[in-house]
Amino acid sequence: MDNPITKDMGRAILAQELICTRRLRFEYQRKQRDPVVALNGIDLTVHAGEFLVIIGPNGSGKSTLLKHFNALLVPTSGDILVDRLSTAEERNHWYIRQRCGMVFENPDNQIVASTVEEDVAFGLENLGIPAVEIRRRVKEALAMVGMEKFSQHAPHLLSGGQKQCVAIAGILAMRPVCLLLDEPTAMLDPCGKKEVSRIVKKINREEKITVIWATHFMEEAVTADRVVVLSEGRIAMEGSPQEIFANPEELHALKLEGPPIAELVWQLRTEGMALPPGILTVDELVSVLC
Amino acid sequence: MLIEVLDLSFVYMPGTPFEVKALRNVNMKIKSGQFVGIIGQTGSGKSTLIQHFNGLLQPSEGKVLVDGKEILRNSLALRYLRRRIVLLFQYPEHQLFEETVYEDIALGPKNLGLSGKEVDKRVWDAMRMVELDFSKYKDRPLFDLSGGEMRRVAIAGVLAMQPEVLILDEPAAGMDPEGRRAILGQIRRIHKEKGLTLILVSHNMDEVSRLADSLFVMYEGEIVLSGSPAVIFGGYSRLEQYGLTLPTMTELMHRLKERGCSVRTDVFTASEVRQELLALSRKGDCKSV
Ligand SMILES: Nc1ncnc2c1ncn2[C@@H]1O[C@H](COP(=O)(O)OP(=O)(O)OP(=O)(O)O)[C@@H](O)[C@H]1O
Ligand SMILES: Nc1ncnc2c1ncn2[C@@H]1O[C@H](COP(=O)(O)OP(=O)(O)OP(=O)(O)O)[C@@H](O)[C@H]1O
Ligand SMILES: [Mg+2]
Ligand SMILES: [Mg+2]
Repeated sequence: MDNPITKDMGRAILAQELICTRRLRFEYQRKQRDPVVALNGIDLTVHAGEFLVIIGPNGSGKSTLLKHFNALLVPTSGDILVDRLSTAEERNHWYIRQRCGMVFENPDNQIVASTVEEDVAFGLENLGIPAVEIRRRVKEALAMVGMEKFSQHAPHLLSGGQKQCVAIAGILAMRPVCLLLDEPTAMLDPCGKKEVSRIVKKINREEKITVIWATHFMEEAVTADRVVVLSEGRIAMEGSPQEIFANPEELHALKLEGPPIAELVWQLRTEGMALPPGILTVDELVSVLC
Repeated sequence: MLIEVLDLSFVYMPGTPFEVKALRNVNMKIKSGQFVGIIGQTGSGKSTLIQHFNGLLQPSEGKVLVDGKEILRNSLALRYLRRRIVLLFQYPEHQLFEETVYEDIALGPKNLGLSGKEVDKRVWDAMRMVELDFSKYKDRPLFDLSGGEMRRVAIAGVLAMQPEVLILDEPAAGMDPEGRRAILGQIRRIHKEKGLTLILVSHNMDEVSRLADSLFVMYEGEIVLSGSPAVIFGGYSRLEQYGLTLPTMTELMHRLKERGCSVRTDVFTASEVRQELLALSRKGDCKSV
């Protein structure tokens, strides 16, 4: 029965579908008032190693959905399996949260320690990792986000962007199987935004870490394997970045916009300029133009 | 109102091992009715600087003058000043006090001593400007809102004060693309129509270049560049060393020019770029015709 080969095959299958939701519905309950329906019938499969970006207008359910992926919220109805385990069972939660780590929308909600170094180490200490290894990983993670100088500082006294960098370092040090990133770069300067995109992309490629990234910056969606668009708690569109950003009119109707270059190219095409479809970045447009 | 900053330096936790020199010798002048943008790397001192404009922080050295007078430290004067110069924090979640959306937005106008009817109108107007449906949201508890919804409430709160100077620290972060365009558009409209002085801190180069008349670039606590968007973003190579990039459209034009296309580089908006590229393609000066 416990044949190592079938066990291994089991792992391979398991690796395919990391997260799977079926008719997931979530309602926030309220005192003496109707509940808020935040998610309304989400069917979504996230594959292991995938880079998935979630976009959608304010209040469309992005944060609520991400919180289901590490069992901070459980469905009102419907199902969700994370690594084949149901979040409905509380005894699975610890395991699921080790697999899927989250950077929250507001970094202040994530600060747990009184120095930056301890804050980044916090998740690791809970995993029973040896102290030397913890120190190495914390140092490496802080260097990646350019915060080594601040290791002894108090995290709640940092600038807005610095707090966000610390939250990102925390998850980089943990290296869970899946990164859940809720607008992780909202307060970073343009170079910092690019750098975080680059780092996350790199560990996604090289370490096959699954990434699920909610954002309002469409530039961060252009290198995704897949983009999911939420609207009023439902999946309104789904496809490659090229497919999603091909026709901004559909996005505009959902209160969204494509990346600036995609919007420009679409306008130029409607005015008769012969540009190929699927151009999303400055680099791509420059190489087509000259 | 005229805000003058003279040789301003500011140190957090002076005399401790964690002392941070957040501002060094800053000099600037913001005139009444201007739309000023402040940009700069993470941690460069932007939030620290603007908190000096309405006396939330007091200089370690140097001074800040409002209409020629130094900001007084007594609480009555500060309270009066903060009705005229209103600041929206970078994480306004911390600035929300009341239970419901309505009460929170009404707090400022109530403190101004306005009548119930006038308060009601201010709240209604402000919610319309930030595109929050009045009847749907007015009784919602604040902490039940999504990130972007909460931010809209916070912006509505400062707009309802109808200040003379409005300081916004990353107001559009966390807002959806349509929302940010609409709200920044509304703010600009008030600036144009009512002469509101605006000070906008932002990491979004596309937005500041489009909106502000003049920009200050901060780097490690100093102002390293200032001038119109055309001046700031004309100096291509300098920006990266300060952690900044060009606005997307400007970058596109610079890159095309490097490749030998004859295009203008002092443009920030998609519509200007569209004109340039259409002209280029008519001349047959680029591959795609
Ligand atoms: N604790 C709560 N109680 C009641 N309703 C809530 C609560 N949290 C969120 N909501 C509502 O659920 C809906 C989805 O919220 P969610 O935070 O998932 O949106 P989002 O897509 O992350 O938005 P944003 O882009 O603004 O971050 C919104 O209508 C919001 O008002
Ligand atoms: N309350 C505080 N106590 C101690 N140091 C602080 C405090 N607030 C900010 N600092 C430090 O002062 C410097 C300037 O911070 P400030 O918040 O002004 O930067 P910023 O330009 O607004 O950055 P961001 O773009 O990340 O918001 C940073 O090095 C920061 O760590
Ligand atoms: Mg959210
Ligand atoms: Mg700041």
